[in-house]
Amino acid sequence: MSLLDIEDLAVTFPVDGGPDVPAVDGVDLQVEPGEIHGLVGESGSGKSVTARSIMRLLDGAAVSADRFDYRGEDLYAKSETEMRAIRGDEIGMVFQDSLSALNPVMTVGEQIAEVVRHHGDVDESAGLLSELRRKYVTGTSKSAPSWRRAVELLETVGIPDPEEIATSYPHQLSGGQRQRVMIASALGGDPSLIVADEPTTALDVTVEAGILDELRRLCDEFDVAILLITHDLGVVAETCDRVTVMYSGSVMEHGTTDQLFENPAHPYTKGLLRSIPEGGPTDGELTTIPGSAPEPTDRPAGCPFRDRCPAAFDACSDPLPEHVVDGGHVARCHLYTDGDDPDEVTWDATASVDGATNGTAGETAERTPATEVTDG
Amino acid sequence: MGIQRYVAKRTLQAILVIYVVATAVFVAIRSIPGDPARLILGGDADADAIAAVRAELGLDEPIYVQYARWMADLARGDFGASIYTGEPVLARIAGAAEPTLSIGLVGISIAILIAIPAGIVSATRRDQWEDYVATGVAFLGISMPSFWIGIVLLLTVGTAVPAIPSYGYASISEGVVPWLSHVILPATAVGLPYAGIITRMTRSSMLEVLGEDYMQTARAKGLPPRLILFKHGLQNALMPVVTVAGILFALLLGGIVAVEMVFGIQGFGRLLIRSIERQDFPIVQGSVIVISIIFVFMNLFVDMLYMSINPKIKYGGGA
Amino acid sequence: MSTDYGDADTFLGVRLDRFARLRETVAGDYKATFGLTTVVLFVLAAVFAPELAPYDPMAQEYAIMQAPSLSSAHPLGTDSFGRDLLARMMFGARISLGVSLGAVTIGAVVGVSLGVVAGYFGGWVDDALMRFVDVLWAFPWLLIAIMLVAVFGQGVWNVVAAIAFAYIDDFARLARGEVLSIREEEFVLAAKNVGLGDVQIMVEEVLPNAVAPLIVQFTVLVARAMLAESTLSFLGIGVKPTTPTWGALLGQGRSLIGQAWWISIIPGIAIVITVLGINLFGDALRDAFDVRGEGGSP
Repeated sequence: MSLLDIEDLAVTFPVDGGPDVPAVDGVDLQVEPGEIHGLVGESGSGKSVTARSIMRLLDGAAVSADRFDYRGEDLYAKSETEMRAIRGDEIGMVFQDSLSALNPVMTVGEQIAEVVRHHGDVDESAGLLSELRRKYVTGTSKSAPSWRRAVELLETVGIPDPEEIATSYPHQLSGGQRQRVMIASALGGDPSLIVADEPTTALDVTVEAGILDELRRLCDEFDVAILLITHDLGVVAETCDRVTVMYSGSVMEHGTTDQLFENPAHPYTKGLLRSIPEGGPTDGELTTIPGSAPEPTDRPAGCPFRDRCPAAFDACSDPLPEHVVDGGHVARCHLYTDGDDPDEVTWDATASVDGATNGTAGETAERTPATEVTDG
Repeated sequence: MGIQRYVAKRTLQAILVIYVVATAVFVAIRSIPGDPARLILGGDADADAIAAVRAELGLDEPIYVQYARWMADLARGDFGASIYTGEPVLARIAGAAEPTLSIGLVGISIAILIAIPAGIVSATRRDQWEDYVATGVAFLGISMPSFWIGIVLLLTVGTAVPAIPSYGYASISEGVVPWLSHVILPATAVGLPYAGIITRMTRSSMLEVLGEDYMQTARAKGLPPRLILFKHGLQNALMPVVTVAGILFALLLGGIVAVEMVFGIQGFGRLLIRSIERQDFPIVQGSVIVISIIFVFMNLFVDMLYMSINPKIKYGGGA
Repeated sequence: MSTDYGDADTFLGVRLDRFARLRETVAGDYKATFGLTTVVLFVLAAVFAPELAPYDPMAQEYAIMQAPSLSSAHPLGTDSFGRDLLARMMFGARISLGVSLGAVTIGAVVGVSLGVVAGYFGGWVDDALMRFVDVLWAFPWLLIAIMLVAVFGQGVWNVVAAIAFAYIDDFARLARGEVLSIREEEFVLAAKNVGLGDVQIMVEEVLPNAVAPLIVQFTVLVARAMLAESTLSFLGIGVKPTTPTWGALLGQGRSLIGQAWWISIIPGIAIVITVLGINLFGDALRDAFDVRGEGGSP
């Protein structure tokens, strides 16, 4: 059984004095136990919203799904009290901006220790009064089991000198250290799933590499599944077992990392892969997908990608199909609906833009039927 | 800059400010037309008697000599004596200050005890009836002159409840109950506007904190809501309120004087006004110095307090 | 957070669309409507008092001294000299309005100038000016009022001066804070590069962006000034005894609380309503202009 099984998720935000915003529209996501699953998409694709929907942290949003199961149980049928037992305990979360996500007036050690007290199996009171007493009167004793465990966790996530760091405040630490603290705090309740929302986006490349290694290691060592949300395909290639690609609120393709990178089926995925700079000197031109993602309120019917897709045709305005490319590799694209091997999609018809970055507004792709021969 | 250097620097600045203020008062009070000696002796005293009294009081000396003498005395902690009663200035001020301080401190305490919870409730129940009531009362509170509140209280509670007198003051040495019963109405009058400000500040600060990312992190940890509010949010929300509360204390002074007048309490304000009328230089100078010291060091204290509860400042910069 | 508004239409440095927001806020929010209405009524009563008042505020009718409200031809009653309260209150409004506006304006002009110069130049100029402001702040305004009266005798200008004095530090600190954050913005650096003189930059670039919080502060302090003026008048410090400012009316009624409580209570109610109106309006301004609350003022 999948650890997390989401089928046809839709999330809509009501807006004061305006139309509702359908941030997510038709997302399927399965995370298996112990795997690192990458959720990839550009800004505005709805990946963060999807992540928060798992924790039910979306206040005021309308969430609907055919299935939203964690360990076979419907998360959205649970009461708030039951959810609180799951948050931190079964599912942990790591946020992108570690400086604002950590409380500035509490030591880093305490922020981890409290998770341990609430969800771990330590014999320490975690009631309101004891917590307040600890916060305002006595402080958390260094010999308390929760503190010891916090220090242990800091060491586990690769922080040197954990005793010292545990007594520090977030602003005294570097970005990389803070991110490790967040990971440690997510691990505090010994969860089975960690949702990591762009954990390395704000970090240097070298620091990022360290964090990703850490995540890989923790996944193996603790047998915890990680849902890694990112816009960086490089991160996905390095770290993830399986990948789900999102665009403008829907899933475009999903499968194992190998499957996706070696045999991308969806035009969007192909476009993304094509945009990765090869590394090494080029003649200065970078390739992009021309055009930009539509506003959530402005999406075309059917496939949201059709306005930028070089292979778009009439059927693309119909609701997205599911096409199984291979075992576990699914693409949601009308090019494959007739069941035969699809004509290859090429991106070469679209011009590459000199030095431009991805996603800038430009001419939309020409709509040509998929008759070209060469591979993208 | 280390903490000690900072404190030293601020203290020096404080002393400088107080010195300037004292000098300004020294000059100002002597600019008032009139002659204290004449005031003491009465309208039709003859010139010789007046001159004699002036000499006795040291008022006939050139102004810079008076100034130097006074400064030297101050340095020794000698504030001089009242021109009128001969009573040492500090003792006189202390005697008159007790009612004023009582009213002020009780007023602020009541205000804070009510206003901060009210502000928190207001923020957590935003736009519901609790919010409207608290905010409404706060707005009213800051719009009412404190002496008018005193008059209203006097006419209502003061006359209706026999146990609460509407006139006069009882020192705490006469017992806590008499003291409190005399102080409670004026303290409420003074405290209500203060409470209004604190409520609004707490509310807006709390609202800001509630929207911060770390509060969402706390929710993602599965912590119960009340714990999140009081453990994660409260300290952050109260930090700005603390600074404001301290500074505002200074603003209360004007209000207390008027309230004292409503309730017939002979406090510091009355002493000050009388002394200016009578041109009792030492008392006026001493009073102003005392007030300035309180203002300035209260400010310093509040800053220190803030620095000690805000880890960002206490523990300095990051890696 | 400030941005260079470039060519956006502005009035007094505040973008016109913020005024549109203000109109929306006032229309939508009953508190703000109440506030604005009260302020307008107050100003009208003050400005047109000579035409609107039913009686001469100084006219004494010994026949009906201390008449309670609505008991006779006098809707709000009379005081112990038989003078009509309503008329006195209307004329009092003029003085209160004039004093409050005048005092806060003077305080603003002086304070903002000091603050902008201090913030813009920084360094020892900043230090020196801020120490000066600290000295002003350490002076209790009540004391200044008392001494001004003692030196110069009774009169409205003493009250104006004393109150203005008290608010200089408020404006100076606020303006300085604003300037410090704007100073580093790119459009200021750009102006410097182009070669604009310091004064020119201060007036043309820095000031317009700092204006919104200052306007809000101005409104809030007008409310406080009215309270301060009423306190001074109540204490008998400042204006001449016959002047019918609301605080003075309250003060005159103090000894008569037992017999003629309305002489004290009714002007008080007027003060409360007016100040409340100004405060509510100031709050609406703050919302519309998107200003974060600064410490020290409600």
